[in-house]
Amino acid sequence: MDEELNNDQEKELETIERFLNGTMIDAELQSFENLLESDPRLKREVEQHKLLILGMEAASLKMELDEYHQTMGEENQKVIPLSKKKPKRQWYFIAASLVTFLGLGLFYFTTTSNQRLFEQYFEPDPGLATNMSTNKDFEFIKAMVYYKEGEYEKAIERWTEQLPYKKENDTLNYFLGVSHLAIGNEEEAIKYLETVKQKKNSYFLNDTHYYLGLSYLKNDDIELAKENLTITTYQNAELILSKLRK
Amino acid sequence: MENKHPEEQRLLVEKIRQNNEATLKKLYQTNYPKIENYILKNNGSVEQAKDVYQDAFLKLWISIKKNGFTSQNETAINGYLYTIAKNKWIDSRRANLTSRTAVLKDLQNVASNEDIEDITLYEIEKDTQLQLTMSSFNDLGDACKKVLSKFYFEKKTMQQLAKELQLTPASAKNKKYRCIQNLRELIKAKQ
Repeated sequence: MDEELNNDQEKELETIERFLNGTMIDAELQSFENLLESDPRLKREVEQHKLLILGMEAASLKMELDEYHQTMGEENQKVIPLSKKKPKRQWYFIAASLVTFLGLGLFYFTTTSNQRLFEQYFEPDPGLATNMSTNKDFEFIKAMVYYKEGEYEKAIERWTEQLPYKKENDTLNYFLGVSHLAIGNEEEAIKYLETVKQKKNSYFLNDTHYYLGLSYLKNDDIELAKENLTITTYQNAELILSKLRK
Repeated sequence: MENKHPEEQRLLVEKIRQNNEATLKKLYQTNYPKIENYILKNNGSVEQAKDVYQDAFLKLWISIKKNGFTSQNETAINGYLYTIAKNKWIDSRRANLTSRTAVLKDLQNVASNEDIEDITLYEIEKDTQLQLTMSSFNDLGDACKKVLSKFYFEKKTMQQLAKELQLTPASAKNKKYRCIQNLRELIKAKQ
C-alpha cells in the first residue's frame, strides 16, 4: 500500500516536472492547465516544486563558484609565449599515429584477453566532492583532490598514512582499492576492496563488487571475477560477463 | 564588446538562465578582478572580496532566473554585477538605513547609463524559503547532491544521468526521487 502511494507521488512529480520544463504539449498541456485551475492542492504542489528546483539550482551553483574561482587563478598564470615556433601539424599527426600503432601492437603482444577486456571497461570511480562544507576531514579531502586529478600515487601515499587511524573505514579502503587498481596494482586493490566487502552495510558495496570483478579479471581470476560481477548492478558488468561467456 | 549583435545578447541571458557552464564560468572570471580591486582599495581582504563577489554573483543569477532582468546588453550585466558587489561591500561596512537608499540610487544610475528596462533585483536575503532549501541541500549526502545537481542544475537527461552513475535509467529515476524526498524531509525538519 505504501509502495502504491509512493508510485503515485512519483508519477505526479514526473508530470509536474514535464509541465514545468515545457515538455508537456497540446492536449495534455491544456487539460493539465485546466486541472490546475480547479485543484488548489495541485497548484500548490506545482508552485512548491518550482521553488524547490530553483533552490536546488542555486545551491548547486553555489557549489560551483569555488571551482570557477580556483580555475581562474590557473588560467591567469598560463603564459603562452608568442615567439615560440610551432612545428608543422602534419608531423605531429604522423608521429602520433606511429606511436599509437606501435603501442597497440605491443599491447596485443604482451597482454591477455582478460587484461584487454579490463582496459576496455575500467574507469576509476569519479570520487567524492571536495568542498569542505560537508566533510571536515581535511586530510582525506586533500588526498581526494589528488585522486580526482589522476595523481593516484600521491593520493595512495596520503590515504595509506591515514589508514592506521581508520582501519575499518570503508570509504578509505574503497578509494585505496580503486586507486591501486588505477595504477596497475591489482593485488593491492583486491586486498583493500575485499576489506570493504566485509562491511555488509557499506555505501560502497555495489561499487566494490564491480571493481573487485574488474580486479580479478585483470588478474586472470575468472571465477572470482564472474562471482563479483554477477552481484553488482553496474551495466558494464553485464557486458563484461556476456563477453566472458563467449 | 559595446556593440554586440542584439541576438547574441539575448542568447547570453538565455544561456545564463540555462546554467550554461562555460557562460557562467566566463562571466564569473571576467568580472572578478575589477571587484577584487575595488574591495582591496576599500579596506577589504582577498578573502572578503571572494565572499562578497560570490554572494553578488548568486544574487544576479537568481534575479535573471526570476525574470527580473530584461537587459539586452552584456556590458549591463557586467555593470550590474559590479554594482551589486560594490553595494554589498558598502552595506557590510555600514549597517544603517541610509546606505539602502544609496544602493537604490546607485542601481538606478547604472540603469539609466546602460539602457536597462527593469531593475528588479531579487532579494535573496529576504527569501527565507530559498535560504532554507539551500542549506538543506547542503546537508544532503554527496551522492544525492551529485544526482540532484546533475539533473536540475546541469540539466542532464535521465539517460545521461544513468550512464554517469552507472545505473539503469529506472534506478537513476528512483534515486533522484528518493533524493528529492530526502531534501523535502530535511526542509520540513528545519521549519
